[in-house]
Amino acid sequence: MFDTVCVGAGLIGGVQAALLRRSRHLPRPKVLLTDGARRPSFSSQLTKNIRQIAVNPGSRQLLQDTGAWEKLGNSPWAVNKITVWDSMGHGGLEFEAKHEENPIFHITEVPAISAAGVDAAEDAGVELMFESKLENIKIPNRFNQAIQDTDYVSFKINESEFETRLLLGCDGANSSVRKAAGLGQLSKNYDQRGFVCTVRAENVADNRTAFQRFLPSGDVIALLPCEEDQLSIVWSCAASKAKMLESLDADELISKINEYLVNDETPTLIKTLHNSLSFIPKSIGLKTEMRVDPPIITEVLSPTGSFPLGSALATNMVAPRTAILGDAAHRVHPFAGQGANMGWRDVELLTDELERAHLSGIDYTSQLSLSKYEKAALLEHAAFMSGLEGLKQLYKTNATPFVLARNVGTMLVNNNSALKDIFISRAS
Amino acid sequence: MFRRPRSLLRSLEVARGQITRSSRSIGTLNDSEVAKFGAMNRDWWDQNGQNSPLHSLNKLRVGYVRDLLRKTVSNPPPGLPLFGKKILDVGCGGGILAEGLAQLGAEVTAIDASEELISVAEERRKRKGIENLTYLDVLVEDLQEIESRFDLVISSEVLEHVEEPWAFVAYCSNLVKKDGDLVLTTINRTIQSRILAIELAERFAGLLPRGTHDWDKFVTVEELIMDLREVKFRVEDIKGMRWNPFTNEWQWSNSLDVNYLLHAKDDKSFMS
Ligand SMILES: Cc1cc2nc3c(=O)[nH]c(=O)nc-3n(C[C@H](O)[C@H](O)[C@H](O)COP(=O)(O)OP(=O)(O)OC[C@H]3O[C@@H](n4cnc5c(N)ncnc54)[C@H](O)[C@@H]3O)c2cc1C
Repeated sequence: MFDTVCVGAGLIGGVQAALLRRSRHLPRPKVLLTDGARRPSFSSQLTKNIRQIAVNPGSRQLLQDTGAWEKLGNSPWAVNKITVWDSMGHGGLEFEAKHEENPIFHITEVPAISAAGVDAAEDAGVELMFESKLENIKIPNRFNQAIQDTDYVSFKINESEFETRLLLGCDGANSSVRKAAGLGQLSKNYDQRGFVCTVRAENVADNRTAFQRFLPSGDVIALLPCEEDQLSIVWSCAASKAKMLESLDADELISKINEYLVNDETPTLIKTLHNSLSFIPKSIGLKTEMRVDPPIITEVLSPTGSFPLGSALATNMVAPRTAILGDAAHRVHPFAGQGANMGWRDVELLTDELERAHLSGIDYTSQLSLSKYEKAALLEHAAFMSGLEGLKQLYKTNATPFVLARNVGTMLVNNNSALKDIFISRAS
Repeated sequence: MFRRPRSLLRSLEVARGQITRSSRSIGTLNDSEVAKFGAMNRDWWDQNGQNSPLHSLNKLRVGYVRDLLRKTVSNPPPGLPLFGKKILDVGCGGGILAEGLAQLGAEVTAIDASEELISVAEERRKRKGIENLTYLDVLVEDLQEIESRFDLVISSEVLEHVEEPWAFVAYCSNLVKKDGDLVLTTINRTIQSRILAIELAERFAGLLPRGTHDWDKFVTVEELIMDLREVKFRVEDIKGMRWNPFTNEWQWSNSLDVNYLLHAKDDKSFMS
């Protein structure tokens, strides 16, 4: 019998498993971390991974607390500035961290974070099982009179039967735990994809600035620095355009990107944004009306690829002895740069509630405990994603700034300290 | 509260003492009250059921005991702030409070007059493999002869159901170690409690099963303080507790008009 089983060792699972074991307020639970895929490993420096994400300061703190951050060595790349612009000649916006030791976020390779999470979990005494698919997941009824609320989740791995007091679905967008628990989801799929690749660039100075350009077509191009002269590109665009970009050879691609970075466009974003900037956190300086001098791409360093874009939010995040976290519960457009950061926020919210329940003499795997997590997480994410409808508009109309301003506004109303810096992360 | 027919007499080992189920005459047992709770056994652990306020009350009562005793536990293992503390829960019912205290590492002995409820509690304990928790279906008067005493004796939401509260308090206090603590939670006998606990909660809203409480049995703060003074216990703290039926959350309150918690300590050494 396990106390907790975390299904999925992606960005969220390993961190969650490690945190439960390291908690000072839980009695050293017996935890299993399992994944259908192979154990994630740190990639060699030679093959640059195409997936990079922005880790915001709250998430970095969590990764530090679990011992995962130190395993990344100095590979996370600190970013001190974000430049947002929609047209040349007119002013762009620039956000800058006031102190270099508190960067706005760190750009980090996705598989490296997963690998660090798994290593941290292993150090903390979590049992690991890879290339193991969970089958026959049985979630108990809400309350069984005959055995007074002592029934647990059972499942099979490689034909062996296991039981756990708590099942945590950290198994991504296509979560099998979510399905087994019958948890509903509201989702929107746009006919959009995120085209990604890693490039070398000139004109990047010390390369501590992230760029984001909004185009009237609805495209958003994000350039995330990840080494002295390298940028990770995430270009959200119509599915057909993503396919077109994927089909280009390196030279064609370079000129296409450069063209889109310098083409003059009608200014729509900046003016509206100016009116809604009072919420920028004090640790961030803001300059407006600047002239933007974007990087010049010189070389493609990675294979290219694209991911379908969509938004989804689970209608429920818990079932008896079961909870879902991360992409299993919500997905957002990468323009928000928040997918993983929201997932780590789930880890914090859930762990807090489990600890609080335990210290209050309540079985932390019981409904009284899990329903508090659900309430806290849905409240935060629903406010965040009330832009879900807005996001749809984003891809249909040119009203990007309105959507942006609205999403940011809702989040600040939410008045959550971990979300204070969200605008910054969103623009990554 | 707890007396049983002779036919159920049996002996049980606790610590070093030999305990026999009593048939003594100054009992605190009220048979009809015991039968009433025994009948609720099937739903005892349903957090959404009739006992939902008892489940959520753990936040206050377990929290109180945790904060009271944690200073006296040095270097507790993670998640076990009450590690090794000896606690007696008198009138444990199906074990909601007792399990809550045991999960924080205390060595808990929990007793109740209802055999049905003790068997519910014991089934759960076995299934969950909790080792630092012992259930006994005996009365508090039956424990008077045992040698061991407890760091803390708690009786939560029981006093309002017993026959002779003064005797019950005396029996409980006698099981507290020198310098140990006694914690009681109950309902005050006031107009407010009459309206809230009985007219509203039971009759009108049906939040509690009808007949859960008998208002005449409620114990006022003053009466309880007097009873404690009789046995030389000094009151350290009295706090009001308020339940929100819509959120099923409990909060500390300045008002002692309805639910309250009282903490007392052995005053004998203090007096001499
Ligand atoms: C183009 C793009 C750019 C992005 N940029 C950012 C960014 O800048 N910042 C940010 O915060 N987020 C970003 N995101 C989002 C981020 O990648 C996700 O939110 C994050 O990966 C979610 O983590 P997760 O652990 O929930 O799921 P995943 O990382 O998807 O992990 C799920 C794991 O579960 C395993 N699994 C699945 N099913 C099973 C099963 N049945 N049994 C066992 N194991 C199973 C999988 O093998 C996998 O290891 C971006 C996403 C995209 C597509």
